[in-house]
Amino acid sequence: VLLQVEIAGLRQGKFRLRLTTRRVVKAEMVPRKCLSMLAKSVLNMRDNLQNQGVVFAYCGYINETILTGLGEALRRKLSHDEPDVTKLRSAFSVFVEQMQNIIRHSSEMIEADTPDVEPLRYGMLSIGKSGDDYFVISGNKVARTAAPQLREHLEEIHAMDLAAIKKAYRKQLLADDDRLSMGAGIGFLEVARRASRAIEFDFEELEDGSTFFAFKVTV
Amino acid sequence: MSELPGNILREATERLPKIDFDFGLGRFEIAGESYPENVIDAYGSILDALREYVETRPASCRLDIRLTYFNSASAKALMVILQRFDDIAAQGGDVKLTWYYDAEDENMLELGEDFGENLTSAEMQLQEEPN
Repeated sequence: VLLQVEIAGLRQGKFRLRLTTRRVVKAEMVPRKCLSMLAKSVLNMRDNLQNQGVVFAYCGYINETILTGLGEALRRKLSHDEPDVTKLRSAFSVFVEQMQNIIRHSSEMIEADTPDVEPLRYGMLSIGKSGDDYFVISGNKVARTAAPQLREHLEEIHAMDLAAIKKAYRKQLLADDDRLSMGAGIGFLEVARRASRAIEFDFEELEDGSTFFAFKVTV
Repeated sequence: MSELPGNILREATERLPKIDFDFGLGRFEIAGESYPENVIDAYGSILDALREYVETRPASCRLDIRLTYFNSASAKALMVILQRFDDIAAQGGDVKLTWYYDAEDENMLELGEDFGENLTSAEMQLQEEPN
């Protein structure tokens, strides 16, 4: 195309001027064009998320430090937007439980070189607003062998009404008496008792031998 | 009789509550938020100290819980703490437990009820705090 333009310029006796102009324009146009595509594609991603009401979205390796930082930002955003204290705290609570669930249980992980440093675990988490409700969606890989038990546990909770969830929560508080666990067992009940709608979950077996676990909680 | 454990005073941090345990005076307070990175690091030594405290068979003590948020792992730790005070009540000690909750936060009231119902000897008062 450029060559044709140059030849056209030559025919019109404007070769030098045109060539200079085209060269300058060409030098600017190439990066500009790339940039505009980059902006478009990033903007697309952002618009997709925003159209779904997403306030925060994170995908990548996470650890407790990231939870602290994201939590602080989320807290400020919620405090700014949400007058209903119960709802605000429930949204924050569900966010923390789901983040910690990824941090404890994602099977996609990078071990640290030293044992006292926590590993990085891969997962995704987004929190958004739909009408008056907040939703928190998480996704992470789990070991395929762990998936059936996880599904069974979630199906049990899914079948419970609020009174049954609270009863199970009370019972779980007393389980294993003195031993402190990393929240196993009680985390999903905590989330379910704060949820305004039934919890949603799904599993997908992946080719790498793991299972993808998706979890959505609305408060 | 066993010796009293040393007092514990920890100022609140972003993810940990203030812990003020005065074993000599028998006054205990937990206040703030609790979602530690590692619940065993956060509460292990406190639980050990409380176990020792129970063995001193205290005549009276009071615990004030003023939490605005805690995660599920902290809930377990909190239950174990309350159980130690329940042990003291079972020994005949005069135990006063108060769960302060934000008037605007329904969940905190309900959680207080749940924790209270899990106690057998001590009774937990639920106290609304104006915002």
